[in-house]
Amino acid sequence: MERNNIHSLAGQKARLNHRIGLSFWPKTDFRARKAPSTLRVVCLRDTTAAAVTGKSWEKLVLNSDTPVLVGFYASWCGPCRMVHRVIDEIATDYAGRLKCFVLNADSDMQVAENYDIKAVPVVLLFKKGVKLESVIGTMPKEFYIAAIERVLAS
Amino acid sequence: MKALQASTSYSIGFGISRAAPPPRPSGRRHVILAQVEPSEKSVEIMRKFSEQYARKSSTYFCVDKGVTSVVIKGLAEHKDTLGAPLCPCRHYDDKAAEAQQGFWNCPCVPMRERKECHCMLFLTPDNDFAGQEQAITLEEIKETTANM
Repeated sequence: MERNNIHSLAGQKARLNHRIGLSFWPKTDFRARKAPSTLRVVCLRDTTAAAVTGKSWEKLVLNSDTPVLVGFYASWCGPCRMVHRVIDEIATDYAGRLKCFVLNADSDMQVAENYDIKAVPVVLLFKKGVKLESVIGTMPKEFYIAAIERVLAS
Repeated sequence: MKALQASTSYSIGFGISRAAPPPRPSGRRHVILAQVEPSEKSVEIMRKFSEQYARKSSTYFCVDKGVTSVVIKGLAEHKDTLGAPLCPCRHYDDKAAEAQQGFWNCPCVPMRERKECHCMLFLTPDNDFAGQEQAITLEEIKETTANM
């Protein structure tokens, strides 16, 4: 089921009666990714979630026995960082029940195009190789949790 | 002329001539290497623009200024490479063509028409992520993006 479009962020507020900003605050400082020395400048992978690429897509996402969450991001997308922090929390909360990956839409153009990624961040949820949910934009953690629970229950 | 700007700036990274087609990086490695830091000059231009436009549109920066900083740097990077501050929170098949078309150049059409900025640079006060500030210093930008 397609979720509301990105521009409904403000509209979501009506349904949230508590401040949601807090869960996005960094638990520690942003962790710089240990990059190989040849790749000095690396973009926004400020997350502990593993990267999935076009090459590993089939194996890690489509053929996974466990449901999979993939967060699409772009290199200089600020809100993507907030979503990455939520993905990190979710990866811990759902360890063993859900695999979490991130994908740089700028580097993996083909995958991004296959799934018609326009705005980022976008979080897609897969089960048995089928995309069941997509959450576009920066949503409160509860929003992602609800989508995950629907996928797990399906 | 925008097309010229775009190709000129691309030539910094890829060294192609005007007559060449848009650069197709030959591998992922090159894509990553092309993601260099934006010039300080462009960061400063986009920082000032952001402050001015926030005031003009009565919108506020994100409560997490790290988000603001990354987006400003993203706009600056696009200004460097494309000649226009294309929105860094979208995925494009052809960035150069998009920059020339202009719809997603900051401030984008949805922002100008409806104050909708999904990049969370300009937030209306009713947005849960909105802070109370319309100013950001170059130091703040450097600080919050230091570990990237």
